Amino acid sequence: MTDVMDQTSPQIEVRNLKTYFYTEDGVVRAVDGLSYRLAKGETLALVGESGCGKSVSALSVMRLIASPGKIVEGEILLDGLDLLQCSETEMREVRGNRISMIFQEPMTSLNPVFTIGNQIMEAIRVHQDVSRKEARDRTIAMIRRVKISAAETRVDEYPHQMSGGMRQRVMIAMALACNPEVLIADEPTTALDVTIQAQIMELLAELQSEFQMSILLITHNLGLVAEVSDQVAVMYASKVVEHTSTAELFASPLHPYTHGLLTSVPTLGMPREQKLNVIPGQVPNPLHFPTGCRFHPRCPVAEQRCKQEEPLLREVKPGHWAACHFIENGKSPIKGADR
Amino acid sequence: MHTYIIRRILISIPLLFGLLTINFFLIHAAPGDPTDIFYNPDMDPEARENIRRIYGLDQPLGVQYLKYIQGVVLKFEFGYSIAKKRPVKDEILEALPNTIQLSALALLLELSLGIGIGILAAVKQQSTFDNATRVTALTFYSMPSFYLGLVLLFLFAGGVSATHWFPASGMVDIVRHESMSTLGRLGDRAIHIFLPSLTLGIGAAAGISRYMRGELLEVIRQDYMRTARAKGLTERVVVFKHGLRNALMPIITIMGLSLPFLFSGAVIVEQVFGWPGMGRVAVDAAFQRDYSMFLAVNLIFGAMVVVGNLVADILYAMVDPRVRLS
Repeated sequence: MTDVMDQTSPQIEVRNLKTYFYTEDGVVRAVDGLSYRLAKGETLALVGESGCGKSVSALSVMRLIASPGKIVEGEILLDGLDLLQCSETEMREVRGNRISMIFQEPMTSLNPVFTIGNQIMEAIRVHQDVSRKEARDRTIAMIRRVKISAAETRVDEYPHQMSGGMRQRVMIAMALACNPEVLIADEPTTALDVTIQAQIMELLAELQSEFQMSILLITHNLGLVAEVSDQVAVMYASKVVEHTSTAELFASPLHPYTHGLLTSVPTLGMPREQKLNVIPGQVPNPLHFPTGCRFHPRCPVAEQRCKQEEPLLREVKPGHWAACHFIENGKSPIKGADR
Repeated sequence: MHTYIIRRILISIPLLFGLLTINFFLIHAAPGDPTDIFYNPDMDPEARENIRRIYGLDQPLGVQYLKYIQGVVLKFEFGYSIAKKRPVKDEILEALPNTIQLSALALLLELSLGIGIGILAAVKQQSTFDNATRVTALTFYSMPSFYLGLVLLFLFAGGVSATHWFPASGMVDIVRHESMSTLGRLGDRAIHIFLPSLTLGIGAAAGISRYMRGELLEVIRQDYMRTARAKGLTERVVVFKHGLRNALMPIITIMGLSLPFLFSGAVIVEQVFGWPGMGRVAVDAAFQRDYSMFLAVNLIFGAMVVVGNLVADILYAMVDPRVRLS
């Protein structure tokens, strides 16, 4: 893949990333040739079904893949620095400092035996040479910044004394404590109820402009994608199948999988009788991916060629990348896909 | 917290009282009585009755019980040991510190060895060290302490002359101890206590090491460990700060429960190593039907259970902020 957006140099660029898990049953290709770019100050949404490799790709960027997993190939460029070439010590300088991460489960992502202040302060003190007092002051300021009231008293509270939404705010405070260039948000609102979801996303958007950071948003929630992201990369079976701007993706999805995804979301005002589109079949097992195009067993337009030849991610029209044999002249092989 | 501790101690009083009552009637139901040791075939039956009268054994059981309880409650008196011919309290005050010494060292060994080995085995999961300690732990865990004691005695206390490093019995060298310097005396005590405390502590350490390994492996998989790594902390801080404190919580409970076992285990180990502690006192009291002594010994063991549980609960509350004692 060459440039998606040559006008801005990317903050983070992933090229042909492969993360495999060597299990007893065989090699699980959790991420298999993933490429995407995230521009400075922008939000890239990485969408896909459960088990398509989204989270593993995020942990790969942090280099937090534990045995039996291994990053076997690829490049992860953070402002030109290849993270896969960094030593573990150099990588620790990056984690929590230049790239931070927030996780799906705020209930279990905080250590139950330390105060939230202690846990946020720890992130500051490991990367910055500040006194205890100063770290505490900054921690309180951070807690205030994520809109938790009574920061001075809450700093000494334990995670169990807080609600899920509050804990996710604490996670955000911890992640942003060192003013990172990139924030990876791995399904940050999935475990929260809808009203809290909106608050958290709003908070993230505010902090993004305040801190001038790039966000890699991992989600399966297309509504969220439409609202907050600038670019979208759609993942299917450990690879990106389509990558373009959010507006373009929703207006003219070109890959049959993306089309299937978008039409399987119910919309308000949709007639009751109208059936919701379903993508037939199941997500392929990463132990045995189908040959050729990995989507072909579920694809409505698949032909013989799709079983044999794997389509490459190519620029099918300016600024729009997709991996399908049948996209011609920037037109989807599915009739009526352009909305 | 203070009110909680005080309440727990108050609750334990009726518990220990019940223990004392049950034990009182149990030991009296056992055949024989303390005067058996004075008995010989030529003895005048009347003389024997006299002895029984002197110790109040001729009175109805209920009266004896009330008198005994009265002594314990009002005067904190635990009666007179007929076999040892001295007050029970004196005998116990002499033996108890020796047993506490032995058990405390064994506890220290149990915790330091058990936790240390457990952590290493978890951090280096599936390594040679992990596999070796697994087998070793199983071996020591399943070995009865009296047998382990005899093996150690054979190996390091005379059976093999090349490794005759430790004395076989006693707390000090009876002949030379008095003439030693302060440092020499300390060393003398150390080499005497080493084998018995090792015998007592190593089985428990084996158990703790397995628990510790399991707990830490469980904790290492938790989400908050990933969060800690994502902050850029070193693996050492992640494991020892974030992991250990969480993994130690169940260990505290196990330790609290093991305290009385350690104490009663000492009874057997003391026999093997001729350690002048509660073990001897307890066994003698049971065999000689030394009623008062037997009751006092059991009261102390009962108190150990209560104290062990209380200590575990308090430590737990100190480590886990989610637990509030009230």
